[in-house]
Amino acid sequence: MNQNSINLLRGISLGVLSGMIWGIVVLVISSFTQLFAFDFSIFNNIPVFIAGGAGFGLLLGAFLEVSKDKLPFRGIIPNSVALSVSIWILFFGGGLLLHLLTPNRYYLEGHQHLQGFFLSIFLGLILGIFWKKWKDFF
Amino acid sequence: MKEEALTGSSNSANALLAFTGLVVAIFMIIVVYGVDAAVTGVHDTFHDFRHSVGIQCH
Repeated sequence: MNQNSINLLRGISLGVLSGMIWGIVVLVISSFTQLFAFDFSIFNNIPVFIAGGAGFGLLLGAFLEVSKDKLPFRGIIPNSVALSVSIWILFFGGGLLLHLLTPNRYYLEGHQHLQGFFLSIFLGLILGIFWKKWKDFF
Repeated sequence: MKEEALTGSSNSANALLAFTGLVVAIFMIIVVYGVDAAVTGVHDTFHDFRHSVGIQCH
């Protein structure tokens, strides 16, 4: 397949796969760091984190697929990381807006945001590595 | 000629970007920030995930 052509199936498939793995990683890391008390048990959270991770991964994979030729870096891994962090910043920005509008309901948690930022780098890494390995599979 | 080809390719890419953007918007509202009015219980369900990935919560 032409390197420049858009294959959304590839982007979404690789994104969902990386996101599901990332969801488990998020759950494990969050259990270790204990930056906040979980409302649900780890077993209850497993499908939730996998689903949430798959959602993030889907978005990242789809965006990477359609924008891979327009991103600033040469390799797919740095581009994937940059895009993943950008999407996280977009979500964070939305939350920040909610915080500014209703500070009593949505408040800032520095350590959690830092953890989220680094985890977004990790999602980009996972997808970048998968992309490098399996981009021609689709 | 080349410009036409580029424009055609750009249009389909833009359509895909627009679709992806729509998915992003819906995803952000329902899952990331959790709107119980849209899907009952989703806010509570994704509470731990939201905190773990550093999205503002309450």
